[in-house]
Amino acid sequence: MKQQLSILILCLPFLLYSQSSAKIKWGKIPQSDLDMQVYEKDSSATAVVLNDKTVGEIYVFKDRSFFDIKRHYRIKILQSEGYEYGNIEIPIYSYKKEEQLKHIKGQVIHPDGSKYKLEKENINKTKRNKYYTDTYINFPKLVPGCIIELQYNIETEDFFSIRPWYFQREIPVKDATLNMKIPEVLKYIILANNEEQLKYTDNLCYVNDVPGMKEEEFITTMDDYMGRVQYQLKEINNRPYFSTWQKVCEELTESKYFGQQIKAKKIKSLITEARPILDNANTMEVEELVNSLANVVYENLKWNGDYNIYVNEDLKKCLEAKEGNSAALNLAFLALLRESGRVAYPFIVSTRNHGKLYPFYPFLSQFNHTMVFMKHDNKQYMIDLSDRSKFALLPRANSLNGTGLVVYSENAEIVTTPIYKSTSFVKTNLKIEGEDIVGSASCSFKNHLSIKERKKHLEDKAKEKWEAALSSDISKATVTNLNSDNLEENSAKFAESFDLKISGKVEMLDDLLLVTNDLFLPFKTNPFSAKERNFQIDLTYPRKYIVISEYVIPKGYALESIPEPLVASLPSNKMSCKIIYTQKGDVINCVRELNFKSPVFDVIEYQPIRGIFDLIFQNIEEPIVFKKL
Amino acid sequence: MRPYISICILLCFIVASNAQSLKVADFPAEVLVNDPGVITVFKEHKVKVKSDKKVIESVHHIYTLFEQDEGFNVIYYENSFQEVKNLSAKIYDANGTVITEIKKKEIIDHAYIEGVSDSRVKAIPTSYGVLPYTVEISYDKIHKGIMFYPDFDIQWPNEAVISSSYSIETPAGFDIQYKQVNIDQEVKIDQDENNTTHSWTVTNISKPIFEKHSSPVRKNLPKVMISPHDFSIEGYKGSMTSWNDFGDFMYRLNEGRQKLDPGYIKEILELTKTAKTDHETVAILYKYLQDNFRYVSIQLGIGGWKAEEANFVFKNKYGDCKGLSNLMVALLSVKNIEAHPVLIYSGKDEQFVFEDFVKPNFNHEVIYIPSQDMFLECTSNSAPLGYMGRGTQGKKGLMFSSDGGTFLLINRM
Repeated sequence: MKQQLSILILCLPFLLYSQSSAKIKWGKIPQSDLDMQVYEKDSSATAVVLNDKTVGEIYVFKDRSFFDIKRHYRIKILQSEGYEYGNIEIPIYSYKKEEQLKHIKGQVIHPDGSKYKLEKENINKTKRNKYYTDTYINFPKLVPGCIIELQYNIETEDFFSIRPWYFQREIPVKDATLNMKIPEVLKYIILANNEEQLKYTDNLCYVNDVPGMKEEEFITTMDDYMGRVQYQLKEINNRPYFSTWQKVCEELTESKYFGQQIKAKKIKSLITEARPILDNANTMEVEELVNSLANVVYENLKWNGDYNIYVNEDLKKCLEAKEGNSAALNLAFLALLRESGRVAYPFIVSTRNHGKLYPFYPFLSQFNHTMVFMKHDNKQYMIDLSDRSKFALLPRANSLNGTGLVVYSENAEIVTTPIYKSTSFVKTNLKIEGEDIVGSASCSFKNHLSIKERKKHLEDKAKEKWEAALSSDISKATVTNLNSDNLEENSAKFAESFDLKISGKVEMLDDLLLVTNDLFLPFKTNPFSAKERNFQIDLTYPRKYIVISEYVIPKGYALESIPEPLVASLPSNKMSCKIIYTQKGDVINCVRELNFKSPVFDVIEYQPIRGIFDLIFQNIEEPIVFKKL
Repeated sequence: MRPYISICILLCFIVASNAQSLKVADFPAEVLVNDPGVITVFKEHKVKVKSDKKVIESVHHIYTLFEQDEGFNVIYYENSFQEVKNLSAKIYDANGTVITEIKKKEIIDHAYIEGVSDSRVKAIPTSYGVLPYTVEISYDKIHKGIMFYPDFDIQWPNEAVISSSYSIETPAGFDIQYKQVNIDQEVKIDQDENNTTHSWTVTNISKPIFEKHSSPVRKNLPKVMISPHDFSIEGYKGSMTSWNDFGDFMYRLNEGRQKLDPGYIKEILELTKTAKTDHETVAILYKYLQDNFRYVSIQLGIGGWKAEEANFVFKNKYGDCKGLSNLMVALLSVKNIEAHPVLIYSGKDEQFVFEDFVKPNFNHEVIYIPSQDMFLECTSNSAPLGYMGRGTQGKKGLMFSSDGGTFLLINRM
């Protein structure tokens, strides 16, 4: 392919470039940059990227063609806390010299204008593994207010997927430009994040004043948000390169490590073992069939923790080793399901850690996980095998990333992954005995919230887990008579019950007894305590937590006070919460309900959510008070 | 033809394998108590000292996993003076039947840490879906020059041992010393015309039980520590007969590296001219160090022990813990204030550092100023004068100077 490309380009009349308009000359630093003491747009920044100019150009020679990416940037280091930005790491895909790092040049400029060159002794190389070599550059003589200036070229032979250009970093970026001088014979698709920041003129794209990026919780992956631009080859000389999803599917179906694995001959041992199930498949409901076949796969294959769209090894070998990656488990299951006569297809996705999918760009590199898609009686099912603790008809939480591709052998369909709502329900009956609380709890969980609970039981760690969750700095929980309803069953639901005793949970104050009703909180500390948030909140799946607690009023005491009720919800009603106390005879009943009806919340909804969480955490600190008669 | 060859090789392997059955059902009951996560079925660790430029370490280890580990067996080596060869690995099921042989291309070779370093790792994928299963690993590690002899590490906290042996063979002039920790095992010494061999063998040790609030787990594990008397590395000769000798080696290794250019000296004299006492000078110079220098991790070759030259650090304004400590000593000496580097183990856990046995288990360096009775942590840009980090408080460090090595205790603060 590479050779073909070279010839093509050589044969064509060269080349129409656009002109660069970015101005940054080596060593010519504006006085204002030298004088800068604080970056106005973000006074907390410890360093700021002043300019970042990247120029990409294609060079075609007889023996070698490459993209030459020249990078030239300046970073102003405002405080000594920003010295780490004077340590630069450049990873290179050095395997077969496919990428080469050349012409490194650097200098440090002090606020008084004095300059110090980067020398060989400041540059070290480490071969990370067979494929990558990391170059470490440590700028010398940093002082607060200094500017580091660096220039280097990367020559890459990978024309098809050019390494992404990040115009956003942890620290703010004042100006950055990307100038890709691409000959007309090559057409690229540009995939961009934070596109609203980008401005274009012909082949030049640039940004101004991009804020720094800090990591936050409840997020798919930071890479989904970091501003970047990536070029993917689309056409060579008007002929499509990797044209359509349909072609992608055809290729996958032919592939030795994908389509060719979905064959009965690859999973003979599974078929033999599943024979009784397969023979009765016609009479079985979808759920029953999927679960029994999944159990056969689990008996013979353990997930090795890796995600891939392709099997890590031929399924025959995986079955010998009793282990395989995510594709191996799901494709083995698919082959087995087809043996039962059901119609099903592979379904490939990009997991949440892997980044979001661009549905309009048919590149296989976007995916990293294979699941199973089944249609039956006009209903769609997504099947995702991981281990026994998870219901097979429930995709892994990590697989829920918006959309995926159904791989029909001669067609393709982008399908949205459904939304699965999770619930957690806990009911307790509690009595006060001296400084202790004793009683019982019964819990039931559905969908994703059930996975961890079932897993703890399967690992025999449930007692430990509950005791840790119900203890605090001043109280200690003991859990006994732990029972579960349907541990071995592969089901979306899981129920358990146990007796509990929490020593030191009751505070005695003269003739008063104080009990804080803070047991079984879904979050031990407030997850939304940050003052601000820059990204949407992504909880992966909608969820509802209900806790009903009953406290028997201790003999010789009367109820003195209960906390005020709390009822709050977002204006959109996408999230709501309710905490209500009532007294019925000698029983205090407390209902606590927290409901996220949507998995995703916009940035503008953050402040109201934060407000509600503040109220919740204030409310649960309020004790129930009993007074001696 | 090829299948026949592989079958032959396979047969040879099986025949050459050891006598202990790999069938889990045959394991002696005494090693199964306390539910160990891993049982070493057989381990043979042989060290052959050929010369001061060549030491061959051969390891043959068979262990059964009852709990899933990280899924890799990891062999560490230093790229500049060690090489790992003849690596092979196999996996057996609970009945002792071979499941798979790890292919060469499956072994991953990668850098041990992020950053500038010579430390590398060979990671052998050893996971298998059904517990328990057994892993057999063998390899040779060739050391081109050696400062540390490998210890006999008998057991880890979650491990029981059926049989494990260690031997070290040394030619005349390469005497070793050893210290047995938490174990009474007799050493066996064999002597022939050319070589002396020290060996230890242990059998049937159950998983240790540690109670809460006992001293650190690591310190209660049995092991035999081994050190050379005389050693040589990259052209430097040294001795570990006493800590004083080792301190002397460290001093010689770093001798002359505190030299500063006249321009730098002038700068320091200018900076400290207002100081009235030595204490003020120390305070000014420490602040100067904190304001102008940064810590950067650089660990190459014997660089693990040799400090970057003071001139390099002064010029570039960065260095690792040794480089920064060495520079601080140099800065102080400009004002005739005596200071010396101190090697120490910094970290939450305790290391095996004994005053009566030389094994330099250190990972950090600070300095000591006798006239002020003060330690300085030279890698922190913010620590108050004389403050030592949590990881070093309450530990003993080895100070080295022209008088050799001496132990000093860093008090808790």
